[in-house]
Amino acid sequence: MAVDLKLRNSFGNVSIILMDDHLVELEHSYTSDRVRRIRYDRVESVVRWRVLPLGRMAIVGLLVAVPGLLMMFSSEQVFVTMGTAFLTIAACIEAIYIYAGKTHISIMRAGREFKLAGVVRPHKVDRLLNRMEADIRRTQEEATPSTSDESIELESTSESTESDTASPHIS
Amino acid sequence: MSDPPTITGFRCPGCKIGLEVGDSERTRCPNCAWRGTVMTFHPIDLKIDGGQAALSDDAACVHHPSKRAEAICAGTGDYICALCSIDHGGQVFSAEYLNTAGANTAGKAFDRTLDRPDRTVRFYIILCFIPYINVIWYVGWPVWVSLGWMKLLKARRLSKSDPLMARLVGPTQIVLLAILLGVVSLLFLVGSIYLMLFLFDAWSEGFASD
Ligand SMILES: [Zn+2]
Ligand SMILES: [Zn+2]
Repeated sequence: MAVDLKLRNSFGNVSIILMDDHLVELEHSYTSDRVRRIRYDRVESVVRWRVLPLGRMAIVGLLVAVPGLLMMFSSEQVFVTMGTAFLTIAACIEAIYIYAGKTHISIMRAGREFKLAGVVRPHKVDRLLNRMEADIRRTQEEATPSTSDESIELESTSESTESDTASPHIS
Repeated sequence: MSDPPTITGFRCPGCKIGLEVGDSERTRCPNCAWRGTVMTFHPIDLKIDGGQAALSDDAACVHHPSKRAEAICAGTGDYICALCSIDHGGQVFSAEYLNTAGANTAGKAFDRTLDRPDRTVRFYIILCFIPYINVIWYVGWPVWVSLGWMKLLKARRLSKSDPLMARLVGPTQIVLLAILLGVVSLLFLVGSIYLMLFLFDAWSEGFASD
């Protein structure tokens, strides 16, 4: 599996990849991606909610449903058929929007908020968040003993802190 | 040996008031009727420890008075110790600065851009089929194709060395792109040979009628 979640929103396409101890957010453009990494070590909370993508629904309504409806009033059989087709397409798209909804994910890390949003099917978000939750808990549990055993592992702690700061993770 | 802090609250995304997390993940804001799921974790405090102890005549770290200063933070101008300093693009910042005032500015600077040669290959392939560019620049075609091959090799190299690229560009994708580029290269070769034969024919016919 290549990318864990693809989000499409009005600002562009975003892909999310779960690595071992961090999440990678890729903002796609033509020949390069902007990369943001969110390390799990200091993640405080992950909040997820869903709303209706009203903006998109309105656009589909205006561009597809309204013309379709207008065509229905025509006396020509061709237009009535086209109108029916338009309305069916619009109804299908709106149904998908209502079913999927626009998912928002907000990740708090070290007092800063990272937001993700897009229209995705809920079960994909469920799968992503389940894996992410497990990864965050594991990362934080693994890191806990080395920070509380100050006296014994001073050497190794300083090393790990250094390597931690050497690869900047503030994004 | 204190346990890591447990986060028990969060800010309601709807109305920004502080809320407590209940027993269940599903939460509802009593103020604005926002509903969603909340997961809370045990964040690890950034532990700053170790570093070189400062001698009496050494300059000391502004955040750790007992540690010797090794650098000057480019954001604040403070003396900082080895553990506080974060190197970025030839400049040294203090961890403290990056976590506070510099969080936004430095945060942007730390955003990395990932080159996507795989997508550039697709771009070059498409360029081959844009008529205008190629009518004027018939020479353009071999340029796009060879650039495409170069980018494809780069994509292959990156997908082997960079774990992130490995997730984005799998071996099948490389093979598919190679096939596509191969077809385009072949098209170009066949087209060139055909054109040459055609020109040669036209030329010899013109020669004969003279
Ligand atoms: Zn609220
Ligand atoms: Zn320091």
